[in-house]
Amino acid sequence: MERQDGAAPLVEARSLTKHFTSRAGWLGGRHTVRAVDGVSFSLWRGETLGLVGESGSGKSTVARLLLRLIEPTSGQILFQGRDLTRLRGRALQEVRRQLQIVFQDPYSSLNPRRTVEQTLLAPLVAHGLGTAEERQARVDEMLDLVGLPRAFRPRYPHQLSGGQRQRVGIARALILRPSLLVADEPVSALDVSVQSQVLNLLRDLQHSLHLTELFIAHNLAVVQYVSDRIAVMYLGKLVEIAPREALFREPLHPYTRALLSAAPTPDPTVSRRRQVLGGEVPNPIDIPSGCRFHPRCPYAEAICRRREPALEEVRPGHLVACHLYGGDLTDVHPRRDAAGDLP
Amino acid sequence: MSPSLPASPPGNVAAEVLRVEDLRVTFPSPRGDIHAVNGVDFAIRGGEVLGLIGESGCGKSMTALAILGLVPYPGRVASGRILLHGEDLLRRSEAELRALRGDRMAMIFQNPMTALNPVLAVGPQVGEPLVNHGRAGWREAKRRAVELLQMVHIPAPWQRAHAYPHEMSGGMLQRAVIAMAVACEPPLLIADEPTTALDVTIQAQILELLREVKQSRQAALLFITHDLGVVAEMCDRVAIMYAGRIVETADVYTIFREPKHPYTRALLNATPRIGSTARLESLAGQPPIVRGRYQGCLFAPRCPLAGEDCQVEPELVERATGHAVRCWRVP
Amino acid sequence: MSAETTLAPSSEAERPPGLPSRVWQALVESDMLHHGSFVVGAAMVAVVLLCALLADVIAPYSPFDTASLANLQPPSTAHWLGSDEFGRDILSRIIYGARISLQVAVISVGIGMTLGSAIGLIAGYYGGLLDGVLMRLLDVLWSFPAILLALVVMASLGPNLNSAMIAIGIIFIPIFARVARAAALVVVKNQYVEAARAIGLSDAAIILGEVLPNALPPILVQTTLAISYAIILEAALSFLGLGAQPPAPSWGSMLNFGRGYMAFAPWTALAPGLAIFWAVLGFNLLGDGLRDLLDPRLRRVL
Repeated sequence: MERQDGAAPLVEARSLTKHFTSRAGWLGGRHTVRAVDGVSFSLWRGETLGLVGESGSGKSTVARLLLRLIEPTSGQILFQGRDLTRLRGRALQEVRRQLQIVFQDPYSSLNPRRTVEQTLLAPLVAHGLGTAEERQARVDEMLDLVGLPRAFRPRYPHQLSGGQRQRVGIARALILRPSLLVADEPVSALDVSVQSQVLNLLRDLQHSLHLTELFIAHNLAVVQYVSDRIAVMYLGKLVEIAPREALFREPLHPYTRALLSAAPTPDPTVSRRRQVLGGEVPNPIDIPSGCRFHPRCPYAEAICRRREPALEEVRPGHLVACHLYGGDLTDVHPRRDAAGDLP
Repeated sequence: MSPSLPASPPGNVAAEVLRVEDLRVTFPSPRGDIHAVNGVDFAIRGGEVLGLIGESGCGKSMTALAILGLVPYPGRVASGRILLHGEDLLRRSEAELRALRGDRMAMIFQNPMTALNPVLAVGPQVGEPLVNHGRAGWREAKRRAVELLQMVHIPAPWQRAHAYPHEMSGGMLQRAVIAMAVACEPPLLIADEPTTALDVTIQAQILELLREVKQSRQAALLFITHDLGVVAEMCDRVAIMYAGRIVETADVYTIFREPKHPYTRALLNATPRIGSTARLESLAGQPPIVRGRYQGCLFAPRCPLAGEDCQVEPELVERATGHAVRCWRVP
Repeated sequence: MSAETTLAPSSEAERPPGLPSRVWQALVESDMLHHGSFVVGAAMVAVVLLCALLADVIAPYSPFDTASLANLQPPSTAHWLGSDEFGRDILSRIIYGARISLQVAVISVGIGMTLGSAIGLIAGYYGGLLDGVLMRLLDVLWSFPAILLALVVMASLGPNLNSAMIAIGIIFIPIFARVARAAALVVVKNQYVEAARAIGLSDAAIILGEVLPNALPPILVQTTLAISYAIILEAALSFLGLGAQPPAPSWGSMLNFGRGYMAFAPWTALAPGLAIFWAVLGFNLLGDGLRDLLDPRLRRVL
């Protein structure tokens, strides 16, 4: 789904920040976990934005911030022009209908003591929508939509497989006809053959329902299957955003390249070793100075230790936060060729 | 009764380290025994990596546990032979098996956080196999433990030896676990989804380490996973498991280039690949729990090619050199 | 359910007629019938229950019928457990005593369970400051020895059965609060609680609809154990002369009066003592059995 130029985005995150403070024991010092630090992005109606990152990247936190399941430390979330962070009480409940989420763990995302029918009715009841008849009709509609037989209505979660439970989770998220769907690692806990069922379902729903979706995962191959654009996060910051094909054709940020390189390809003829990224995934408590990626970056320079690069658009629609492209290093760095590309 | 085992690719003349013949593991249940492992055969040579591939419930982890003699009660090994350097492990007593575990065969588990004792420092745990199996005294073991930590590329190994598991990241812990596994230089290593719990960039490091370790010791590595990308990277030969049985086995290039079994094909087509948005194939239904007596090919209910003759279960038959398939529909 | 390729039918145990097949299926699947302590405990509790419910039918005599000429008779065909100092049939008094014990136990545990669980669930769900304050207040209550607390309450409310029930109920509040809070903490970690918030359910709806039903198993186990403890407490209070007043056939007061006759009419004390023992053991076994069964297997079935 292409971005409609000039059209306002459906969702806009502006400098979204979330810091968790905790104390190590009674007498220990305070730790601040900077889970999400000044993240800004836009989501246009009808598109799917994939959010990729490893553990500690903050991607799941971003999901929960968008839905206000947790409160941001600072920053704004604009939904259809309104600032979500300022809403309270009744207004917030109203808006919740528009923002829904599918969770990762099929085994804990459904209440084990509720039947499928009760789980699906709950959102409708909570918002007082429709008559009893209308609600039942909507439940049937949803079951059809996600490919579950209507006979499953009286079943309990333990009588369903992982893939079936995820479908129920998707049905629950969509039953309120939200404008925005956030999918937080919806297939990570599923086997390959079941994963493909759910991924196909999500893709089909994107088209048929014209969904706007934020799809979060750590597996690049999965993310790119359903996304129009892809955003890469590292240690609480966005390091690159680009349309799907552009990202794979020309990954700009060194971390993106490392991710692509590290992802195992199901093809033994592809060279078996390429660039292995050294170092550990660092701790969000202990953030490196300057560019957060510099301790592991093969191209790090002095400036990378001193100053954090800003997220800038260096190609149309392609943003990256790296000094290699910011103009600061273009003169200094001899490895870049005439087109400004890295080898 | 045991079907022909596919031969190793030519050129590998190392000795055979592990041979599993017609292994069956069952779990009793009120409605009939559950066949978790249902007649599995394979062999691994020194320096070779055999991938045991399948989805959850196919029996691959249970196979590994059977080899180590760690099948949890009330499951039991119902029949078969497990030959480690020619000696049948199933005939050995628990005491003898304990002497072998850690010394002649070692396992690397999926979750490094739970594989190590949280109240002991890492160093002593890495050195423990050496002391247990009489290969070194405590002093010597300490020194060797630090050497091992260094070999697995843990920075500042002397300090790390005194660290506790909770002070180390997942990747580093898995390295320590690998160090512990190879401490006594066992000829057989089993890795059960060793990188599933790790981030992608760390996974790449660990896989490289495993290759290095296997190569330097010419150990046989049984690598269990469900991730086809990892298979392509790590394995020399591959055996695909479904519902407790092996349905196809071949060398890794052949499996990806010319998969013959419908399940293998479905797995390959269901795996998303970077750069491709072609529609993934999906399989309806789920794998069966095999209970009591059954009839016919276990994959038939989900197989797009199933037919009348699939009511009789096919044997594992070698179709090309080193490539065996359990299916009637193979041309 | 995953497909099962099985041909051989299994030989099932016979289903008792009248029991709905779904319930029987659940019982068989859950292995309940194989669990010694549960079965034995349930049987013992059933006996107590039957005594309490059917006392009018089962008891050979009224518990209040005195016969001064037949006092302190040893067990005989006329009085299976003998008679007490007023000639009353001990067996009948034991049977009716079950009523008092159960009544006190159930009501007091009911008070403790309701109030305690409510506090515990709220503390566990919200956490933070509220949790800290509530738990510290309960710690204060918890630190009083049970009997002392009961005495204090009864001193203010007067020594009768009702105040005994209230007193015992208050004693149980911290226990249930702890159990409920621990269970709530575990449940809240599940994603379906987060999902409920995302849907837009209010906190109250979530606590009642999502958290409570899933926190129930440990609370239920605690309930059976608390009932057994309540029986002892009631007996203790009656023994002390508080609680049920004579001539009410409370096991505790029977024990109190029987104490004086131990030398030459031991059955007057032995009978209530054994009755207390039986009831307490029964509920304990039931609770232990329940605990084994409810986590996690039976949770799938219930």
